[in-house]
Amino acid sequence: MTPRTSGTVVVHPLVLLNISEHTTRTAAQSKAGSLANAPLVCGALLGRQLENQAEVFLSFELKFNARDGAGAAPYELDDRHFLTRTDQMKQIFPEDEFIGWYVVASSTQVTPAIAALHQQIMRALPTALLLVFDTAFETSDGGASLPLAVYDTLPPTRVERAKLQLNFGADCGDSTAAVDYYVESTSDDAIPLEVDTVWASHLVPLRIAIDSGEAERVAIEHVANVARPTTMAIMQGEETAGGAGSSTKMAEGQESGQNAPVELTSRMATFLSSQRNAVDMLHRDITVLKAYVGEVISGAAPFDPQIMQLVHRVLCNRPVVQNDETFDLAMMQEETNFHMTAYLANITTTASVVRNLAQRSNAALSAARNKHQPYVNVNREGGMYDGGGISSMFGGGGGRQGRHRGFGHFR
Amino acid sequence: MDAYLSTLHTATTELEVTQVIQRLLEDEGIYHFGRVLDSPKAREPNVYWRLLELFSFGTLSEYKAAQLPELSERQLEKLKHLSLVSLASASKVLPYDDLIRELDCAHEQQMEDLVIDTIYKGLLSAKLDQQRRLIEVEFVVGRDVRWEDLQAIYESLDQWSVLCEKELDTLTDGVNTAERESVSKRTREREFTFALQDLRMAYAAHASMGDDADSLARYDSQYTSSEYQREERRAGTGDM
Repeated sequence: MTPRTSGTVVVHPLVLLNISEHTTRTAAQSKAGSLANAPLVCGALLGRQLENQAEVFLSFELKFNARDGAGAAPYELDDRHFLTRTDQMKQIFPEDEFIGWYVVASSTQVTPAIAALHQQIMRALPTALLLVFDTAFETSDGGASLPLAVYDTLPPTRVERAKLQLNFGADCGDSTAAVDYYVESTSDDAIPLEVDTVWASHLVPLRIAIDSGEAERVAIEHVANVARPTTMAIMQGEETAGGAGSSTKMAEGQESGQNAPVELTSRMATFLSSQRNAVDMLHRDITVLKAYVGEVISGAAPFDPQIMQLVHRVLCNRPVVQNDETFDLAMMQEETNFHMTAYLANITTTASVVRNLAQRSNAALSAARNKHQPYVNVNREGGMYDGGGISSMFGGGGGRQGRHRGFGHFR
Repeated sequence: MDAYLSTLHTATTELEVTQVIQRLLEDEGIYHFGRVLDSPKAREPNVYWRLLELFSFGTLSEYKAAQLPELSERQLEKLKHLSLVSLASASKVLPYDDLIRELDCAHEQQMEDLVIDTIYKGLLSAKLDQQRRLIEVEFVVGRDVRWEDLQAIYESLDQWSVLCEKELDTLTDGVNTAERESVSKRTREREFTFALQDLRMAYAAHASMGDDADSLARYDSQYTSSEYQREERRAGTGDM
């Protein structure tokens, strides 16, 4: 689709994440389970607007009150809530301001309901952006582009009333160039016009670009890769919980055992994956530099001495130490310390496990003493337990007394 | 730097160019002359251009070997600073003796002063280890880059990138192994619990059929630890 203006809007993935989370949460909370019956999912967009380019950094949810009455405008913006939230956001993010709002629908077209809401938003901000999030994923061509559409509001012009009738159903398959969206502006001191024309603002679709800051990239990757198994587990957990309660504990256990995918709850794995992310970012930067140098060599990019000097500086400052005695010594000491601590912990746990084992086997075997031979005498000379001290500590006491007991009875 | 560049463009005679270069070399704040050398005037057969090139890419030893005009005190010191920067770019640990030799210093004190000057100028950030007679370099501003060095830079970056990739693979393997281990451990524990339960139920069924004298179920013991319970039983039966 070729947008008619050169305007672009840069959307941060955090915003998309917030929107999808809001949608999912509303869908999960509403008993219907389908978006058709769910309350309106919409919120405000915060960001910055430069001349030709808008950048959307954040979003937060908006409250709309259901209003009885006319079918075209069933919802009304809660002004107080909106103002409070905007002020709060302003305090935390002084550079970002309210530049538009988003709504979740089943396609990226602007329905009359959405247009009515947009009118209300326009009262607060005449040039608000409208972001329509498509949950049905129908308008995306093969999944390559995002299910979004962002519209910019142009200043109001005279428009024939006929154009306000947004017609749907006929061309819903091709919601692109054919339809122009106009939203009637509600201003009190409107200049009286001829019949059949009104003041309306044209909603122009914008090109969408995605950009992300470094910290954002790390967080998004975490959600996408690291936390994905957990979310999958949650979704599967929902499915099994929806069914009737399981009969025996065993069946439940087996079910969840089979359903549980790889949950990243191992602390080692979390630690390692955070390291991997860090190395990944480094690798990306190195690739960028390498590409640049490659282009300079091949002549595609100009040779700028300043920049090359900086690249050279990066290479000179890599922390590499070789053949230094003090460093080697210190490194060895640290390594040895860590190894010893880990070893000590291992020994302690092993000792306690062995002790438990000896205790329990003694208890188990002593119960059947009158039927079987005396249980494993840990005190026997030689054999497997050469460390006489330790083995006597474990089971020696019980063993000796048991032997003295003979073949008595238990009560 | 821009001022120098503009004067250079307007300079017409060789003498003027020489003067500009002289001033450039004297300037305390400028240690990178790449932009000046990039200008088309650098092709002129003025010996001072060779001098500027030396300041950009060469060291003190090269200066002594070549036939170049005399340098003033400050210019010479600048050249020494730059030579130190070159050495620091090459290795992170610089022994005192090498430095004394390369930088043409009479004794250690002079060399240390030189290093400290460089540190104050911001060209270098390092620690002087007098006991081991070393300089440990933390940060160094590099020298200018020649066209010929580009290939080397590219290869360094390439190697670094390959190392990173290998490291990433190792880390990914580590993550997967840790996850697998944790999952298998959890499954094992679960299986053990179920097996234990099975056993318990089977045993309870068996025990309820006959009143075995050697039944382990003693719930009226005042001790919760199995050891103490055993002692109690022994004490009880021992009194018989």
